[in-house]
Amino acid sequence: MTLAHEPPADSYEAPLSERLQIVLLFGLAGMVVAYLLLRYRLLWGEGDTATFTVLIELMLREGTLLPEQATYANGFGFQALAMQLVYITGLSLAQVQLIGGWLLMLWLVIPMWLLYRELLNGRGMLLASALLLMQPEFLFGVMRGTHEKFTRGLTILCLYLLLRSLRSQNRPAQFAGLVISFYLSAYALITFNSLLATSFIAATAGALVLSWLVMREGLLTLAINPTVSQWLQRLVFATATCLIISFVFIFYLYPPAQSGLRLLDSTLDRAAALMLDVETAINPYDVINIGWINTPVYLVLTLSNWLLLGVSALLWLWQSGRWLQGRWRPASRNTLLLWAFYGAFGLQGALSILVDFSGAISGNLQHRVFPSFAIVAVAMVVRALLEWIDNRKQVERWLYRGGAALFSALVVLSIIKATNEPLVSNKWLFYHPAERTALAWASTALADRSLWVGFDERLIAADTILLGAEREPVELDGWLLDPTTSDFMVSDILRQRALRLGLPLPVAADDFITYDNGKVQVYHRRPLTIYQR
Amino acid sequence: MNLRSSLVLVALLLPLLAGRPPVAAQQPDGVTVRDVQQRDTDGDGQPDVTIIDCSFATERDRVLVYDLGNDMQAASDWRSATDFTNDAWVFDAGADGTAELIIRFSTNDQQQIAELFDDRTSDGMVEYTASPSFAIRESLFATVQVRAVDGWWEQAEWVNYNLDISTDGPVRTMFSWSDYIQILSNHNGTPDFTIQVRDPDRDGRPDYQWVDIAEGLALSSSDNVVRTSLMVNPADDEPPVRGAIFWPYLGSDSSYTKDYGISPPPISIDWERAVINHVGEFVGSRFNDAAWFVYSLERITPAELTSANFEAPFGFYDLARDDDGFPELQVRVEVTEPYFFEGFPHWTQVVRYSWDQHNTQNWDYKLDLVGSHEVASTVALPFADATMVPYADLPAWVTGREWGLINFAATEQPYWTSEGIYEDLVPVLATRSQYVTGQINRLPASDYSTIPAGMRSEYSGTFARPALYFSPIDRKLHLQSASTGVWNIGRTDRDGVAALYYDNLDGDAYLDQWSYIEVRGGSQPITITRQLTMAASHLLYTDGNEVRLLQTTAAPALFTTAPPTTYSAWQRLGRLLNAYEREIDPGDFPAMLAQFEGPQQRITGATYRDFRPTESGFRLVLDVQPDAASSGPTLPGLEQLAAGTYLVRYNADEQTFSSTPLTPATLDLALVLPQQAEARAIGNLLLMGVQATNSGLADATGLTLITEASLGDRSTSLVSETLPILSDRTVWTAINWQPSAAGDWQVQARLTDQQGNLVAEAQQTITVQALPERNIQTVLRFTGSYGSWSLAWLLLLVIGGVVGGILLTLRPATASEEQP
Repeated sequence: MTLAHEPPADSYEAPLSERLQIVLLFGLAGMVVAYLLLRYRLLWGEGDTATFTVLIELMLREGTLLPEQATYANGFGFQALAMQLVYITGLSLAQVQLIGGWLLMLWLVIPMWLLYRELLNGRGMLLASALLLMQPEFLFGVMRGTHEKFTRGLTILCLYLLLRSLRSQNRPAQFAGLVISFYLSAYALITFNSLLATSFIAATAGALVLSWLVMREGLLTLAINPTVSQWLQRLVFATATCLIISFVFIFYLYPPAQSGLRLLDSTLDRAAALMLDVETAINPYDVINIGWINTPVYLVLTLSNWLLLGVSALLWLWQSGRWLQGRWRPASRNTLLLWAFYGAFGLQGALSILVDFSGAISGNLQHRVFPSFAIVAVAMVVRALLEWIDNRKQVERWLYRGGAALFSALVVLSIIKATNEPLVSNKWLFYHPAERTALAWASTALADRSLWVGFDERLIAADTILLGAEREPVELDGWLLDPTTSDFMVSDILRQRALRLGLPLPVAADDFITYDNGKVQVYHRRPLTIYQR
Repeated sequence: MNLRSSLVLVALLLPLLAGRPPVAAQQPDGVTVRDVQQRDTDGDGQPDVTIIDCSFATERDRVLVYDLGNDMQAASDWRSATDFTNDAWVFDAGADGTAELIIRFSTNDQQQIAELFDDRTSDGMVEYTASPSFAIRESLFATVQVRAVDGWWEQAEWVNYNLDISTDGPVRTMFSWSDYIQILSNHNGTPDFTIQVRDPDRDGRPDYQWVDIAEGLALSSSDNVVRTSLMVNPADDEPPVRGAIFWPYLGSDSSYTKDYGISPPPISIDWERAVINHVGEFVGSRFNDAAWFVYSLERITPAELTSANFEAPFGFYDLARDDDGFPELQVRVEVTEPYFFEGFPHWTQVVRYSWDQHNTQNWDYKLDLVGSHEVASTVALPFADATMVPYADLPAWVTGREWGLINFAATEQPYWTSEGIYEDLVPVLATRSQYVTGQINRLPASDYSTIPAGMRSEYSGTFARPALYFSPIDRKLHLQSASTGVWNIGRTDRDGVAALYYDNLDGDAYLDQWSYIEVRGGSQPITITRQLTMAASHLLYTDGNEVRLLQTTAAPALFTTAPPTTYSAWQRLGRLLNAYEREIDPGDFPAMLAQFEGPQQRITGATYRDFRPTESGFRLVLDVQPDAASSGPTLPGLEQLAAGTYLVRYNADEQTFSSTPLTPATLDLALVLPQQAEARAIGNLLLMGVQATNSGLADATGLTLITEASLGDRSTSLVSETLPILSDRTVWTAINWQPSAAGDWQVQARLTDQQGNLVAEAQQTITVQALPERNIQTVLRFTGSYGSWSLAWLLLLVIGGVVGGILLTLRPATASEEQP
C-alpha cells in the first residue's frame, strides 16, 4: 500500500461518534476518580504530592514564583496553576491537591484523543486513549498532585500540534495558529518541568535523525518523500526553537533550574538529566525493599507493561527488519512518524536503563521515561491491531470476546497497581483518621521532640498535604529511625505493615505508653540514663 | 618642689598608681641600619627619596622611602628623614632591586592609614614605578590595610593599639586557617576579614583583639568554621613588641600565635615569597596567665544577641597570683547550642579543666567534664553581646554543676602544653554526641591506650559535681566515684613495661583495688602481677606467691576537695598535698601496706583471686599450695588451711572469716514467657525473659547467652550477649519479641563459656495465635467500610468492562474507509 497524502481523519465513519467517544473517555477517567474516592476517601499521603504542596504553599505565602524558602528546580508551572485554582475555587490547598489531583487528570482526555486521532488516521483513538489512560505507570503519575498530569498532557498536546500542523501547511492561517499553539504548549511544558521538556525535545531530535536517516538511505517511497522533506524541515525548526526556549528558560529566566543541574555532580549526570528523562529521586534511601507481596503478584500486575513493551518492540523491530529487507515501507507519513518517534523514545528508554545499570550515573536519579514511551507504544500496538483486523476482514466473535476479556483484566490489574492496592502492595499510601488524631495530640504534647511514624513517608506526606509548609511542632521521623527519637507511634496499620514487611516495630514491650486512642498508641522509650528524657 | 613640678610628677606617677606603667615605644630591633642616604630626584632642593641600607631579612637589604607628601626632611637619621604619615616604604630584601613589600602611608579623615601590598602575581616581587611619580602596579587593592583610629602610630611614649585592620586575599588572620584557604584566593578589593585591636586606656598594651569574617564571604551555614574570634587580656599585660622592622607592627615571625612572654610584630612577611604571611595576635590567646579567648562558629554580631559556640570561652587564670606569665589554671569550654545536634534541643558542654598545682609550669591535674547545662548569661563583649559563660565566673560555673562524665588525669612526669592536658580516658566528643544526646545507654568504652606513659587517669559516670579525694593507700589524689582507671607507668628500671589499674568494686566514692602488671622482656618474657584490695576494714595483698591480710581501720580518704577555682583554694590544696603526699613506688604494695597498723596474717605459698564485695563483707577465692605457711597472727577463720582452693568469706558484722572448699559454678537457665494467651499473637509486643542462676560457689564470667525463636525453617535471634553470673546470684535478661507468624514457636536459650562449651540451656514452646485482626479483612477495614470497598471493586470491574467493550466496537475498515 502506498499513500501519496493523508486523507483527513474525519472522512472515516467510526462506530461511535467522536462526541460519544470523548464522553466515554471522560466517563472512564471519572470512574477511576470515583474508584479512588471510594477506596481511599481522600485519606492518603503520597510523597511527591506532599512536596509540591509545600512548594505551592510557599508560593502562595510569599506571592512570588521564586519563594525564598524553597523552589522546585525544574519549573514553576504547576505551582502557579495550583495557586490560581486555590484563588478561583476557594478550596484549601489540601483539597486542591487531593481532589484536584485526581479530578484534573480528566483534562488529559482531549489531547490524548486528538493525538491518536491524528496518528491513527481517525480510527482506534478511543481504544488507544483508554489504554494509555489505564497504563499503570502513566496513571500513577497523573493521578498525583504533581506536575506530571500536565507535563504528560502537554507532551501529548505538543506532539498532536506538531503532527497536525503538517496537514495544514496549505492553509496558512490554520498552520500559523497550530505552530503558535505548539510553541506556547512547548513553553508551558518547559515551565512545568524543564527536564521532562528537554528530554521530549531530545526525543523529537531523535525522531528527526531517524527520519533523516531513512530518507537519506532512500528507504522511503517516492510518494511520501517530498512530504517527509517538509516534515524534516518542520521538525528541525521545532526542535531548534524549543531548544533555544529551553536554554533561555534554564539559564536565564528561571535560575533554580541551573542550580538543580549544578547539584548533579558529574557531567554525565547532567546530560542524563537533560536527555534521558530522569530526575533526582525524592527518596534516595532504598534500605527497605518496599514493593509487592511477592514477585509473581508483581509480574501479574505489571503484565500490561510487559505486553505493551514487548508487543510494541516486536512490532517496531519487525517493521524495521522488513524495511531494511525492502519488504515493507511506511505507507503514510504518520506511519513513518510513529515509527520514528517510537524509535526515539525507545532509544531514550534503553539508554536510561543501560547507563543506570552501568552505574555511569549516580544512583539517585530515577527514570520517568516509560510513560512517555507508552504514548507512542500504545499507538503502535493499536495501529497493528487495526491493520490485523482490516486484513482479516472477518474477526471471529470469540476472538473479540477473548480480547475484550483480556483487556478488561489488564485494566483491572493496572488500576490495582497504579493505586498501590494494599492487599497486594507493600507501599501503602492511605492512613486512618485515628492516626491523624494521634498526630494532632503529638503536635502539642511532643512539641520540640521527634516522633517516629512509620517505615516510610506515608504519614509525613499525609500530614504535609494537610498542613502545607506549616511545620508541626513535633518532628515526624520516618524511614530510618533517627537515634535521637524516643517517641514512637504504633497504629493497627503500622502493626500490619510491620508484619507485611517483616520488620520489627522499634518499640519494646516495656516502653511507656503515653497515648492511646484505641487504634493508635504512642510509646515513649524507657529512659535508662539521666540524659534520656 | 614647686606646684608645677609636683603636678608633673603626679602626672608621671599616676599611671603607675593606676596600674601598669605604659609601654614606651621601642626602637625597632628587628632591623640593623647601616647607612642612610637621600636623593633629590626632581631638583627642587628637597630630598624625595631616602635610601636605608640595612638588614632585616638578609645580610644586605634596602628600604627606599618615597616622599608622597613633599615634606621629606634632609637628615642622616631615618627617623627624621622619613615618616609613617605620607611616605611609601619599599622593602627590598636582598637589595636586588625588586620590592618584596610596599607600605603606602596616608591620612584620611584624621586617621592614619597604612596599605600593605605584597606579591599578587606569583612573580616574587611587588611591581611599582618611581618615576615620573610613584605608583604601585602590582594591584589596585592593598592586601592588608591598617587604620590608626586615634590618628597616630606611635608617639614618644608608646605605640598605638587602637587599630582597624582589614585583609583581602590569602592572609592568615584566624587560628583555624585551613578552613578558609579555599575561599580566600580572591583578591578583589572586598575585605575578607576585619580585625579590631583596642587599647582603651592607651597604655601601649592592647587589651583585646576582635577578628570577624566578612558577612558576605561564601560560607555555607553548615560549614563548621570559626567566624568570630576574640582575644582578651584582662590583666592588660601584653609584653611589648620586639623585632619590629621600622614600623612597630611589621616583622618576620613565622608563628601566628604568640609565645610566653614575647610579642613579635603581628604583621609577618615571608620575604622569600614576598607575601604577607599573617596578621597574627596583637593580644595573645593562650600564652599568658590571665587571658581568654572565644572562637565562635556562630558569627557574633551587634545586630542580634548571638549564642557564642565552640570555644566559648577558653580561659587562663593566675591561680598562684605570681604574675609570671604562665597560667596555673586552664578552663576550656566547647559549647554547642540547642539543636546543634539534630533533634537535641539543649546545650552541651565539653570542658577541659587543667591546673598546675605545684607551680612548676607543668600541668599536674586535669578534669574533663561532659554534660548539658543551660547557658543563660549575656556577656557584653567589646563590639556585641553574646550568650556565654563569663570568663570570671567560668571555674566556679564548671565545678558547681553535675556532669554525666568526668575524666580525671594526673601527670606523674613533666607535661606542658599551651592548652592543658589533652588525653581523655573516655572519649569526650563521642560522649557528648551520643551519650549526652540520649542516643546510647552507656558511656562510650574507655580506651586505656590513650593514656601515655607517665600519666594516670580514671573516670566517673555517676552524674555528680567534680570532687577529689586523697587516698591513704597510694598517697595520690583521685576522683571521687571513679569506677575504674589506669596509670601508665611505662618503662620500669628492670627492662619492663608496667601499668597500674584501679577499680571501684563496691561502687562507693573511693577506689578499692589496685592491680599492678609488669611485663619484663628478655628471651623469656615474664609477667609480674600484684594486687592490693581494700574492703571492710581489711587490706589484702597478693603477688601470686603470698597473701597478706591486714586488719586495719583506714579511712577511705585523708581529705576531700573540690577542684581549685581560686587562689586560696589552690593554696589550701597545695598545703594538703605537701602534708600528705609521699613517694611510694606505684607497684610497691608492701610499702603501702606498711603505712597501716593492725594484725597481719601472711600466708606464703598462696594467692587469691576473684575478690568482690558482698552485702555482708567480701569474698575471694584462695589458692593454697602444698608448701604454704602462715606467719603472723592468724585471723579468725583462717586457721589450718590445707592445700587446695577455698572460697573465703568475711562477715563484717561478726568480724570473722569462713572458708569452704570451692565448688564450680552450677548454672541453670529458665525461660519466662507471657502467660496470657491473648498476649501471644502475631504482631504483638511480647515481654519475655531468661533467668540465669548460678548455685555454685565459683563466679562464672565471660559467659555468652544466646536466645532464638524458630518456627519450621524460620529462625529469629532474640538475644546475644556476654554476661557474668556470680555465685548465688540470678541474672534476668529481658527479651522483646514481635512474632511475625502464627504457630508453635520453639524458644531456646543457650549459655556457653569462653571456650564455647554449652553450660546450660532451656527450651519452651510458645503458641502464637493468628488473631482475626491480622488478616486481609483487617487491611480492607483500614480503608473504609465493607460497603465502600465493595462498591469500589465493583466500579473497578465496570471500568475494565468498559475498556473491554471498546475493543468490541472495532470493526474492519469498510469500502468507504479503505485507504486508496
